[in-house]
Amino acid sequence: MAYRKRTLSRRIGVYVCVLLVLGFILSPYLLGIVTSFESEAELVGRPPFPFKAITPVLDNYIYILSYMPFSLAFIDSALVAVTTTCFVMIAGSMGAFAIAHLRFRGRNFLFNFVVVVYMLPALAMLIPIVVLLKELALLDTIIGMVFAHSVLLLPLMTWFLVGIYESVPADILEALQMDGTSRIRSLFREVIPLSRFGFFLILVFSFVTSWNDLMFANTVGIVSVKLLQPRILEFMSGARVMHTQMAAAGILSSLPVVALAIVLQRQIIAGIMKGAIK
Amino acid sequence: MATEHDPFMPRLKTESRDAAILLSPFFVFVAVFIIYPLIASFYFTLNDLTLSDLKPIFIGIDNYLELFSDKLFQQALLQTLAYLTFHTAVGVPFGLAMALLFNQEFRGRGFARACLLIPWATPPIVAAMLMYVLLNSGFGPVPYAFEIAGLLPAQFTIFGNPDLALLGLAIVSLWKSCPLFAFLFLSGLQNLPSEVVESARVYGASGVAIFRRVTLPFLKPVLAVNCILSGILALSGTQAFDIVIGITNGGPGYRTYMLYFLAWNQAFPWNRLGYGSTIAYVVTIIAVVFALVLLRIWYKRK
Amino acid sequence: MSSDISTGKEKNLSEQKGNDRRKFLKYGAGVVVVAAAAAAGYYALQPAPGPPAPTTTATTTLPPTTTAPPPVTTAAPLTLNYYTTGHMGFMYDVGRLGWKPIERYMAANPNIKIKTFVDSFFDVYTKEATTFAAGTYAWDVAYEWGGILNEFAHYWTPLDEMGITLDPKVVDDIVPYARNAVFWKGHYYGLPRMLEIFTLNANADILDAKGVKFPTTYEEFLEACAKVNDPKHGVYAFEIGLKQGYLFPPYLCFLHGNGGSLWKDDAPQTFVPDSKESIKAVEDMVYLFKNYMPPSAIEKIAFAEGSTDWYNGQMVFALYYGCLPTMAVTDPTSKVKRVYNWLWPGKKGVVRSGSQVACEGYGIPKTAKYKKEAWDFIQYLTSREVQVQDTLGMFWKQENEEPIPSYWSYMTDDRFKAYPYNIILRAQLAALKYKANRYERPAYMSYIPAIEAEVTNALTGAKKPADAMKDARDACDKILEKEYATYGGGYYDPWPDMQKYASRIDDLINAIPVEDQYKFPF
Repeated sequence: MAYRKRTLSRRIGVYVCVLLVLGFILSPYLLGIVTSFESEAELVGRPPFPFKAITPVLDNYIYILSYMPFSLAFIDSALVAVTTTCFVMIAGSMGAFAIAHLRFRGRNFLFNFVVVVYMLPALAMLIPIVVLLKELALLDTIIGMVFAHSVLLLPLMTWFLVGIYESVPADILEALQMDGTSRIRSLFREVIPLSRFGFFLILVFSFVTSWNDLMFANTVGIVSVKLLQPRILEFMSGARVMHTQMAAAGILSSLPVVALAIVLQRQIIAGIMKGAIK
Repeated sequence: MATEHDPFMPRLKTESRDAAILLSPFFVFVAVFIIYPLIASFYFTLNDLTLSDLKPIFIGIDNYLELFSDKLFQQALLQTLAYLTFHTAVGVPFGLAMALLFNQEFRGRGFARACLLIPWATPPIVAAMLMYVLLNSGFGPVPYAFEIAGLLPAQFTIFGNPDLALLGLAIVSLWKSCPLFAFLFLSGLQNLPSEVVESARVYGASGVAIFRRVTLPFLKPVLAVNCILSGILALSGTQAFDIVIGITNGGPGYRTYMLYFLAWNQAFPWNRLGYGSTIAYVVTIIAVVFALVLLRIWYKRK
Repeated sequence: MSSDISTGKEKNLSEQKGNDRRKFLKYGAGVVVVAAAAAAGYYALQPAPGPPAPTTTATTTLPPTTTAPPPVTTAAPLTLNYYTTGHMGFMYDVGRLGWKPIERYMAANPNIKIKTFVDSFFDVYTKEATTFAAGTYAWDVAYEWGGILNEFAHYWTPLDEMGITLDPKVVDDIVPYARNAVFWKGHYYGLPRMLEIFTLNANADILDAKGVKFPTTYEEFLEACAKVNDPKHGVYAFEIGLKQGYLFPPYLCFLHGNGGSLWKDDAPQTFVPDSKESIKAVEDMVYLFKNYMPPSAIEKIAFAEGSTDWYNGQMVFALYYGCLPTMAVTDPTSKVKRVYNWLWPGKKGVVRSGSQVACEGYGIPKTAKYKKEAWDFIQYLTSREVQVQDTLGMFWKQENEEPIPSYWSYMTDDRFKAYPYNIILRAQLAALKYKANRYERPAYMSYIPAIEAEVTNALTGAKKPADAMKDARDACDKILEKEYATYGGGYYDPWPDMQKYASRIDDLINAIPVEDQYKFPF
């Protein structure tokens, strides 16, 4: 009897805690979704939702979706994020393979260097990068933005990939070696398929980081390239702050990244467990 | 055979050549876009530089010396360290607790785990805005709930209160970070073979002892990573900046000024690029020291 | 023997390695080339983002325009990049509100295509500063205000460098406060488009219901606040956001209402935030905050975040630009039906009114491609028709504040004689009779946060007002010392010139008819 009671109360305890935690995690979004369907007048009138009933309106979404700069920013952000991911994956996996499986001078130094570079605040390099991009005539271009975002990503992603490659069993590589395959070829033949879970991790991380970036998006993009996060920031200023529209814009701009993270979460877990974190 | 060699024993030359080819895009990019800007920005710290007049004036270490007399810098430094400590000392254990909780068996566990990544994936500006809607004194449901429960006065303000604003921002940042820590811990916990825990239990070890002797040591690598991550996020990640600029803009007074935010303000609105770069480097040094200290602790234990 | 075999094997291996490596390089190069070609192709095919297509037309009836379109300038087709900010009527320019001046200009000048770019006001400084510093071509016509012109003057094109001299009649017609936006150290850099002055607004129905007279001195204002303040029923007397970020303009109103000035008459125009009047102003703000304002005001940006409360009838008085009365008339969700709009009252016996004025205009960056066409476009954007329509197109939505015109001769347009335009115009003109400086100078973006931070410290009770403003003085001294060393002082103060127009303002005010209920002394 006592035993069953203990497990029952324990189970209830677990569920209560889980609900509390989920509430903590999800409440901003839930409130944000409700807010995006409110009118501003209703939003600021006390008492706030959920202490009063509200009449939902679609005005905010209609406004956001018909506001051309927002849609353009959405597309541009997607383009930059996808291109950045591709670049980082290709350059990173090539470099990581070399670090993981080849011995060469300066290997350890490079490895540590990558870790240190990740620590550096982007701000310290912001102006030089802007000037550099201008010299290369890449300022205010998609490619320039891709390079700027890659500064944040390439070292760390390479580091992750090193961990992933090191988890590929050595005997497979050995077998390939006996076969006469060059290491470069074995990279494509065997290693990449074996470590594809890691690639999902890189994909999600790169896409999310690029999509969420504000600092470079605001300074590298001037006229032709306008990304999404600066547009969201715009809502916080101006002559009148419409929190309801901000909420709608925020929800819309989070959808791709949140969906990506949730849909690929199994692969992300696999990538981490396979040893990206060492 | 004498001449047979282990295929993986390095033949330095060809391996180096392969490595060179594979590493070339990485190297070129790093050299051009990371090393060069680093050197340039370090050079900036030795100069007086404005955007309105891009001619750097060499002033040696004056920028660094000015840090000692700049009261705002000192205030921002203290606030940054407080924020960093809180973020790590509270955030990481909370993340661990969340992970342990989500490691239990319950219905909807998959859904709960999936939710852990949502705050991390959310753009920081959106997170700041959503949390502001939740917590603001005018129409935020959370202060209102406390108000009608009689626990807080009417229209209680967190972000407008000089003593609480930084804490408020820390909570916003923790919303974004703790689930990520939990996610990483959880991935680590999944690696923990259950037989070890089972056998420990069979031998009569209590839950707490199992946690201390078995689980915690097993999670050491993840713990280290989470702590370092927390440091980076609190100091110089987008969280440090976007959340401040989205909610309090450094106020009230200068109470939510942190080093990263101060560096940006010095560089842009106040048009002192050299000094701004200097502060950014201080942030770097703190981040590196923080990470090194943690790694030293971890490696020692190991 | 064995060595032969092994050499052969080695050779084979290395040969194969060489083959593999070459193949890899080929593949790799191929991938890179294909990717580059794809990127280039995408780039070339991507249409440049243009102004949003107008969806619906304006929802109120506006008087028809009868202006002749501006003359065609050149024959060769070209694209002008036009950079503006939201509150300058971006949506008015290109969107679903109003008169759409850009469309009309393009229709009248078929060879010119205008690409409009917009940023929010708080981003403009960073965007323009980094773009100018990068030295790239970005815009032909760009929005600017006095502070940014002063700080980055050598990145803008002085008109005389283009061989343009302004007609003295035009120069005289510019309201001196508006001149501040386009004039620097003896040169003109463009033309002003708008002028906005803080005035006091009151929910007329609430005042009348409580039998409270609209206040014309600060003391009367406090009495009125006491009578209408009713927090138990969720009604507060006064609304102004007190968050750092836009606290400087309200502070200036309180400063001027106490008869003060932010700068001295000396050569470096020293800032005196620790003057008697300034400390009094901050004490006034603290008193109002404590007694007649909601506690949440400290979290709200100027008027922008608190406006909805005012429209909901939760606050009675509000201090902001002249946009409020139109909201009362046009927005269906607004519970405000009538507005009293007049001077922000000064202290009795000290000064009738204090306020602050914002003025902005357009300039031509140094890196502009088509300077002559840019100048033509600026003249059009600041012409009588566009400025009048801009004022008339006042729908108080986030993308469009309404200014009044920046030229004296535009103020007498007949179309302003309808409610609510005439009461707004009348109030803002009256405010121009009293000191309303914005004190713009090169270090604008540096001293504003310094002063705002200390005012906030006083508001939150972290420091006493006197101590806070003393710290503000120290901060300003440091900032302005550096500024003076770089720019040399001698900044244009519009107030002396404004005083010369006092009687002209009187005439203008008297020419605007209003019902007696909206008439107040000036």
